[in-house]
Amino acid sequence: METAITIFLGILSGYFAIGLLFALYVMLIGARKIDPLLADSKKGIRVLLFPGVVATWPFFFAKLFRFRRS
Amino acid sequence: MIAGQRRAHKYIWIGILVLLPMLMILAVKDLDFSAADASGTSTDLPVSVSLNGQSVSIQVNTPFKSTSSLVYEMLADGSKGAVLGQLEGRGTYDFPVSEATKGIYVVDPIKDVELLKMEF
Amino acid sequence: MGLDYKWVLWNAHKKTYDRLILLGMVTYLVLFFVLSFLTNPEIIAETVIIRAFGSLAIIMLHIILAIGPLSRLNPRFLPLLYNRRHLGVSMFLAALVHGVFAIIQFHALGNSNPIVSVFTSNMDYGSLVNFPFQVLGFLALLILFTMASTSHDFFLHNLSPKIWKGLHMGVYLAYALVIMHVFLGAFQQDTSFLTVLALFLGLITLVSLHVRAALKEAKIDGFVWAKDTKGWLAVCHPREIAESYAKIFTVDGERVAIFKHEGKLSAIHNVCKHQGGPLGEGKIVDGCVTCPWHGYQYLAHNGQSPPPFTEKVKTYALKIENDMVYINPEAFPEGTAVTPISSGS
Repeated sequence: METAITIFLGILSGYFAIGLLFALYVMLIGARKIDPLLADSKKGIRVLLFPGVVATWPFFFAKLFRFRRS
Repeated sequence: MIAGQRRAHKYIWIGILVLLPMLMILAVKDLDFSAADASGTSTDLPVSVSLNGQSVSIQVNTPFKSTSSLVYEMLADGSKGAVLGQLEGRGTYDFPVSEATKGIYVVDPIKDVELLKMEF
Repeated sequence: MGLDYKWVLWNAHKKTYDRLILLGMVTYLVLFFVLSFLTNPEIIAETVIIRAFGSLAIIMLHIILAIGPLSRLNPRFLPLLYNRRHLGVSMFLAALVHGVFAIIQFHALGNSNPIVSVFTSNMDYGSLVNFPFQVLGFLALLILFTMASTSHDFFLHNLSPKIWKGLHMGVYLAYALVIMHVFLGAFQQDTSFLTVLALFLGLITLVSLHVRAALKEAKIDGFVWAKDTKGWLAVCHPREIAESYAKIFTVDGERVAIFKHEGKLSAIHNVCKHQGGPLGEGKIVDGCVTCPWHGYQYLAHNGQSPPPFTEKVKTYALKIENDMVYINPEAFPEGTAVTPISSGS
């Protein structure tokens, strides 16, 4: 059980650490590539979106990758 | 809602209706309600101690009233061994122990009083 | 609908609802604090905070879960449905305060990481009654965080409605976790019979509301239409549909809205792409089908939002024979143009 907990918490903290970095990148640099509408929105809105990007970063990562290829 | 979502909601609520009461009943069926202390679980004790391989984990639920609380290891002959560490308040404390450790003592070093003695 | 994102799509109604939510929350907390200290003057503030915010979050979760079926049973509850997101985010914030204070009070002072301590302070994972109930609360809080943080339209747009809705169905798992968290906590900490009774009553109320709503919907969906030789369904007379309005029919389990615009009929899927609002309960405004929930618009003849918007819904073929409107239950792909048919009125 100890090992299972360690693995679970390891994955969880890893997920959120990557999410944090990725969300910072998206909000500071890559916003337009994720959603062109963000370019026309107020900058403050990105603060509101930040936690959600941290939580769901794999979807945005996939989106960014598709954007690069297309 | 689209048809698929309506279907999913139906199954989810059937699942909740069946599973939750079942879990609740299974959880409490072994409890002895006639006993004075119906709960009688670890969180009711001021301290709970568990040995996990090479470390001992001490969960402090109610802080000791002493100004300082030192944790000693209990050696095979029941005597006090090395100091493992100090408890400061509520929380979980992990201390490494050797295989020879048989239990722990919690001691107030200022008044030199034994606060807790626990064998594994 | 907009071409940029706003903090919150506030209007006068929403502001009123948000004020009511805030007022309700503050009133509950103040009452809880006053009653706690009156009945037990020795109680410490942290304990009251943990209990007050925890119980507040659970009450709000019950209200949130009741809004869906209530608005299906009685349209007067619909305004609550439009504002459910704000209630959800407020509920998460209450749960967060509860969680943070509980972790600080029970796990912060040790030498292990407080989060690790939540998982390891009680290792009785094999037992049902002594199962570490705080772990259940922590997992529920994680789910609620994911939902609350993605409640902005930006995520609905970027994650796709399907993934977004799937993510937000997580509320049911969170509900189950929360119920077990409180239930086991009640037994492991202070064996509160009242708490357990309240939980049970809440569960029974929610389940019966959902069952009643589902039965009502099943009745609507279960209607069997007469078919012609090609499998098209005879749904109504053309004059039964008022100009600029629609009637909703269930064909093959999906709801379809047949609109009359300038005397001509068009059929589109009834579910708005934004938040699943019932398009057929809206009307045609400025030539566009307008969703009654948040005003998203579609052209009736092709199911597309007018440029520059990109939302699309499925369309259906219609015909009129012997003064009956027939619909082909096989939908066209989203956004397919279909020539509207003259209703002869």
